Formats: sequence, structure tokens, C-alpha cells
Amino acid sequence: MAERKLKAWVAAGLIDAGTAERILAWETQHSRPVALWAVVGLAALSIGLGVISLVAANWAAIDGETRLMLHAALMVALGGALWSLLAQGGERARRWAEAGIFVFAALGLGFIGHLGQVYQTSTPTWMAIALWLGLFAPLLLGGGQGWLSATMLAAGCIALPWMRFGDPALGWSNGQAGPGLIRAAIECSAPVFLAPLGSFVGRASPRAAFWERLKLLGFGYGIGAISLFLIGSGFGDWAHNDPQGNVDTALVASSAMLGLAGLALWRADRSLDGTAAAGVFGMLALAILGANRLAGHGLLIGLLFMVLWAGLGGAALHAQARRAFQLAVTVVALRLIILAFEEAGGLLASGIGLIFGGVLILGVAWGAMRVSRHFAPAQEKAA
Amino acid sequence: MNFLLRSLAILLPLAGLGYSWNSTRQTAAQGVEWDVPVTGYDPRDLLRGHYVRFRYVWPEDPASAMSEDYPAATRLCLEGAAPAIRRATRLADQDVASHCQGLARAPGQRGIPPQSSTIPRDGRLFIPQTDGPRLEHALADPKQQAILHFRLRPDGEIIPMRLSFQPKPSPRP
Repeated sequence: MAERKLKAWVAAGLIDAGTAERILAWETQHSRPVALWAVVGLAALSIGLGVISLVAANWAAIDGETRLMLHAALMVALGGALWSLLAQGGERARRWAEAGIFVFAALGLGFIGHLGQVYQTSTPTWMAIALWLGLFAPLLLGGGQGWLSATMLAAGCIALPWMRFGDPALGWSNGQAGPGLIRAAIECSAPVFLAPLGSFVGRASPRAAFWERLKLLGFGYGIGAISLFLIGSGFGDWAHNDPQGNVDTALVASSAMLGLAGLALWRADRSLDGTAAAGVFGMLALAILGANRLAGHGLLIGLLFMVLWAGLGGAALHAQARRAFQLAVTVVALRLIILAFEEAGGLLASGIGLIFGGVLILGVAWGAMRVSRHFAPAQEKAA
Repeated sequence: MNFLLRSLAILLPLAGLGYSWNSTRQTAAQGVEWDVPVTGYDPRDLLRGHYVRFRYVWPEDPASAMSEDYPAATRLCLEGAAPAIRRATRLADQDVASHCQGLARAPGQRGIPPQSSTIPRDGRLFIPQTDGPRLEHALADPKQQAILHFRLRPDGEIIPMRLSFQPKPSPRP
């Protein structure tokens, strides 16, 4: 692509042939093999998924323990390969190590499920995830090179508390809000600490890409979870069946966890990005408390949601993050449109209403576009 | 990563999974084996994935079966010579269990406080993919009774092992 453009520029007399050649040589040398990374990532993903489905499909003909033996042998062989790959430093070795770690960890998760099949155990899912996380987190944290490892680790950290929350045997999600709810709230808030962790370790690590991704995942989990919580709060009071006030305590605990994560982030990173991110956590913590007080009031919760996202937009502005700012503006605009239809239910029922609704959407979209264009930070900084 | 950390990070999962394998294998091998009749849990959704869902038909005394919602019952007392269960009775925690040849329990279900147990009502058996249609057909056959062969672990957990079928006695008029 670059070559075609260069030829056109030479033809148009914008640059001379020598410059074009030098540009081409520089580009060739400095090009990042994005496509290759993508192919390696896809191959690793497909192998990982394939292995899981192969295990799940019960190869009927083979005896259970023989199957486990094969599975274990595969893991030992891959472990040996990883051991030597992680010792090498080059770009190629790092790429293969990343794919290898992913497949190795996927095989490990599959092995735990495989044990359950062969010995017909009925272990709860969260215990399997906890075992997996305990065994593989050191490798993922210590050897992970990029988004594949970071996503896998974050997915495990997020799935574990939610699976525990959903396990009927632990009795946390029953109609009655028991004291266990407080522990569940603390556990489910814990994955946001991936953000300060990534920020803290990432500064001094040669694997900055991995830690950066981990930080973003913790950050995104916090924002996504609280946004969903706010949306849910609009439908009803969380504490309607809670004479002991456990829901209130649980939400305060959750808010405190977010506040602590924000504080830790601020301690780890005093730069513009760091303070903006810490501020976001502070806003999320306040949003939980606010939503708890306003739960059930659809309009007020809707406004709170928009205030939160406007705040996120402000933080993005502070951190000069163009895309994050534009995302925040879009979310606020969408919520505004939905709010209008919620509050004036008749809009869809009559012709005039429909016209008014359409004009409203156009107006909000136009306004959002202008805000997004005019106020957005000029350049995208690395988020 | 340096030599030591690298070795530890790779050996830890391998050793941990090996240990888990060994302990699962040992606990799975303990206990006494019994037979119990079962029925398909839900005829329309008998096989989801590659396991069979079933409901136990414990040979309970009519008197005991009457107390379907005996709220304090936390376990099931099995009497008989393994693998044949002569009688199954519901017991609460405080009831004497010395006459039982086996005690079966299931982890607490929804609505019951954590760490408590309850009477085993249903379970599932992982089956080979190719056995699915055959088992589904046999379970739906009204002339056949499905029998689950299971191992009862000392802690009361039921480990389903295999399903077999025998002709049902013709219903008495």
C-alpha cells in the first residue's frame, strides 16, 4: 500500500525517487508484523478452543485414564517447550511464548474439567477456576507478553467471584440477602485491583504491553460493572428484601474497594493519566453510593448514569484521551435519547410523537457530534 | 524470566494438576458400590451435552416417603447388602445412624443455608458421545427400568458409575 502511494507521489513530483526508496527501506525495516501477530494469536486461540472441545467431546473409544495420561503428556511436552522459549529474548521467541502460554493454560483448565468427567465428580465450577487460577497465575503474570495472557488472567479473576456468587450451595444470591452478600460484594469488586497492579508493576517491567493491557482490563471491568449496576438500579430497589441492611453494607464495602483501588492507582502513577484514572475510580465509588440511595427512581438513576459518564468524559479530557472522550460523549447521548423515550412513553404512540422523537434524536446526535469534534483532545495518546 | 522463576512457574501447574489428579483418583476409588433405580430427569431434555440427567427412585417406606418435606432431613440411610438397597430412610443430623450400611447426602441446594446437606434427589452421569441416542431411547422406554450403579464415598457423596436396564415388573392391577 505504502509503495503504491510512494509511486504516485514520485509521479506527481512531490518527492524524488531517492527519497521514495529511503522511505520504503525505512518502512520495511520498522514495520510491525501486525498481521503475523494476528495470525499467531488466531492459531493459538483456535488450538486452545479445539483442545477444549476435543476434551469435552469424550473420545469414547479411549479409556478414561489413558486419555488423562495423553492430556498430561501433552502438557508436560508443552511445558518443556515453554521453559526454553521463555529463556530466549528475541521478538519471535516472545511471540511463540505468548501463544504457548495461552495453549498451556487452556490445556490446564481442560485438564481440570477432564478429571471431573473421568472420575464423575461434582465439584462446583468456581472451585475448578480457583484451582486453575492458583496454579497458572504465576506463569501468566511472570511470562505473559501481551493481550492474550492478560485477557486470560483477567477473565479468570473476574469469573471466580461471580461463579462463587452464583453458586446456590453458597447461598449468596438467594432471595434473602444474607451476610455472605458483603463478602460476595468485596470479592466481586476485587478484580478492579488489576488496574493499580498493572500500573505499579508495568512501569519497571520490560513487558510493558502485558501490564498495560491488564491495567486496561481492570479499569474496563470497573466501568462496565458499575454502568450495568446503575442500569439495574433503575428497575428497582436492591434492598427491598433486606431487613438487616446487608445490601447497604455490601454496596458501601464495594464502594470502599473502588476507592482503595483509586488511591492505589494514584500512589502508583502520579502522571496525568494516573490521576485521571484514579479520579474515575473515585467517581465509580460515589456512583455506587448514589445509586443505592436513588435505586428504583428511574429518572434520577438515568441522570446519575449520565453524570457518571460525563465525569468519565471529563477524566478522558484531562488525560488527553481522544477516543475515550468520544466514547463517553456517545454513551451520554444514547442514554439521553433512551431517557426521553422512557419518560415520555407516548412518543412512539402518535405521529406527532414519532416526528418529535426523530427530531430529538437528530438534535442529540448533532450536539454530541459537535461536542465530540470541538472539545475532544487533538491527538490520541496511548491510552 | 530467570532460571528459578521460570522453572517454578512451569512446574507449579504441572505438579498441582498431578496432585489434583492423584487425590481425585484416590477419593473416587473409596466407598461401597450400590444400585438404585433412576428415572430420566426430564424426557424433553434428557441429554444436554454428553451427560444424562436422572432422578433417584429410592426404595423408601411409604411412611417415610409421606414425609416428603421432612425439613430437618440432611441424609439418606441405606440398608441392605451392597449393591442391593433393601430400604432407604430419611435421617436428620441428630438421628441415630448406626443401623445404616451407607449414608448418602448431597451438598446444600438453593434456599438452604451454606455448608448443610440434603437428601440426594438427582444427579448426572457423563457418558460417551456415541452412547447418547441409545441411552436416551432406553430411558424413555416405559417397559424398562434404569438402574444406576454408583459408588458411595465415605463422606456420603454419590459417584455415578454406569447405567443399566432391566425389564420393569408389570404393574399390579
